Amino acid sequence: MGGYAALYWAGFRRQSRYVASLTVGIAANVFFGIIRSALFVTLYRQRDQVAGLDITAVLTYVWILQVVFGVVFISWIWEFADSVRSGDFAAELVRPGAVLGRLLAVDLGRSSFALATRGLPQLVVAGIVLDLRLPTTPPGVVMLALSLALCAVAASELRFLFGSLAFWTPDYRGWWTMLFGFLWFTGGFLVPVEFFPGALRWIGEYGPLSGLLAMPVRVATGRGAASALAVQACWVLIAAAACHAVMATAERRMVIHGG
Amino acid sequence: MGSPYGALAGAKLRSLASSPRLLMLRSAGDVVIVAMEALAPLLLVSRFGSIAGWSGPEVVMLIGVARTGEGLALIVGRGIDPNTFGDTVRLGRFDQILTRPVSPLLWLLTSDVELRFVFRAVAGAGVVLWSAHSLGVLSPGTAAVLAAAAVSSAVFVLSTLVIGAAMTFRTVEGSDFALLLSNGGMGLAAFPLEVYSSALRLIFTFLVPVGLCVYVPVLTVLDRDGPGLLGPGLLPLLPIVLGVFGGLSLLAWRRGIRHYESTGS
Repeated sequence: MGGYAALYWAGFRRQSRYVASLTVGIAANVFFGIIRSALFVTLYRQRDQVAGLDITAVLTYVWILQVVFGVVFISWIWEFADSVRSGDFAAELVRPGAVLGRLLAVDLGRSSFALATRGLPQLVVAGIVLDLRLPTTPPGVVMLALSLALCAVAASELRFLFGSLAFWTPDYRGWWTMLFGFLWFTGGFLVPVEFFPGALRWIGEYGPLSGLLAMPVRVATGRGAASALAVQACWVLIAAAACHAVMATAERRMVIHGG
Repeated sequence: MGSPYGALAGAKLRSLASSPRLLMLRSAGDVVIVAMEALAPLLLVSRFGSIAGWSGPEVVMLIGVARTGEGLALIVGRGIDPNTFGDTVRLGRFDQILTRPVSPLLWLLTSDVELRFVFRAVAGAGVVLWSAHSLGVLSPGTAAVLAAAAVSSAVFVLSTLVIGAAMTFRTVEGSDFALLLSNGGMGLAAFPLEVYSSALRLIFTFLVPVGLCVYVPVLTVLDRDGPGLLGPGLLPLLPIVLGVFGGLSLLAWRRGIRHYESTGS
C-alpha cells in the first residue's frame, strides 16, 4: 500500500509544477462559470422551480461543474494511450505491484492536485459571492468531500478505459472524439440531467456517468446525499472491475515491437 | 495562394487520406459535438419557455453560426493553435521555418490543414439552415448575412490564434490565454447577449468582437433589437471593428517574430 501512496504523492507533486496551466485552467473555469451563472439567473427570472431545481440548486450545479471539470477533462488524457502505442508502456509491465493500481494511483494524485487547487477554491469563492446551497454541518462537508473523491476515482477509471482502446486500435483518438460529445451531454455538463426528458433523465441521474457531476451536485445540495453516495460507490466498483478485466486481457494481448 | 502553400496543403491532405478511419471517426465526433450543443438550448427552452425571450431555433442559430466559423478557422488554424505552436517553438522547429523563403504565418496555416473541421463547419451550417428554415427566415438576403457572419467568426477565431501564437514567442504557456479568448468568446456567443451584464456585452462586442460577428448578424436576420446599443444597425461596423482586431493580431505577430530569440538546441 505504501508504494501506491508514494505514487499518489508523486502524481500530486508532478502536477504542482504546471503553474501556468493551472492559472489558465482557473481563468477558463471562472469565465465559463460566470457565463453559465448569468444564463441560469436569466432563465430563473421566468420560473421559480424547474424539474425540482430552484435557482440556488442550479447555481450550485454550475459551480460544482466548474470544480469537477478540471478533474474529469484533464490535459494529460493521451499520456497513457500514447505510451501504449509507442511501446513505452512495456516498462510499466516489469515494475513491481499491480499495473492498474500504479496507473490509477499516479492519475489520481494528479487529478487530486487539480481538485484541491483549481476546483475547491472556486467553489469557496463562488459560495461567498453567490447564494449557493452547500453543506454547513461537519457530516455534510465530509459527505461532499467523499463524493468529490469518488468523482475523481470514477474519472481516473473512465480515462483508463478510454486509454486502453490503444491496446486494440491505433484510432483511439478518433474514438475518443466520437464518444466525447455523448459523454459531455449525458454527463450533464451542458444542461443539468434533471432537465433531460423521460428515460434519458433516469440514465443521467443514475447511469454510469452520474458519479461525475450529477451525484456530487445532489450531495452538495443535500437531496438524498447518502443514497447518492451509495450509487456513486457502486459505479466506482463496477468500473474498477471493468478496468481490471480490460487490463488482464490487454496484458495478454500486448505485443511489444523493437529491441 | 502561391504554389509552395498549395503544395504544402496538398501534402497534408494526402497524409490525412492515408488514415481514412481516423478522419471519419473524428469528423463524426465533431458533428456529434455540434448536435449536442444545439440540443442544449432546445431542452432549456422546453423547460423555461424561452431564453431571454429567444425561442429554441433562434438560439440554435447563434450556436450554428459560431461553430461554422470556428470550424472554418480551425481547418487552417491547427498550425498556430497554442498546443501545436507551443511545441513548434519549444522544440526549435520554428527556426527551420524562418530559414525558408516563405511567409512563416502562411507556412504554418497551410502545412497543418485539418480536414475534420470541415465537418464541424458543415454541421454548424446544417444547424443554421435548420433553424432558418424552421423560423421561416431563409432567403438569399439572410443567407448572405449568415454566410458573412460565419466568415467573420472564422476571421475572429484565426485572429485570436495569431495573438496567441505571438504571445508564445514570450512565454510558451501564456498563449493558452488566447485559446480562452476564442473558446470563451465562442461559448459566450452561443447564447443571446441579453443574458449577460452590460459590461460583458460591451467588451465582447467592441473589444473582443465576437458579439459583432455572431450576435449582431443573427439579430439582423431575425429582425429584432438587442439590449442597449445592440441592434441590426451595428452590422456596418462589423468589417471595421473586425479589421482592426485582425490588424492588431498581425501587428502582434510581427512584433513577436522580431522579439523571438530561438529556443531548443
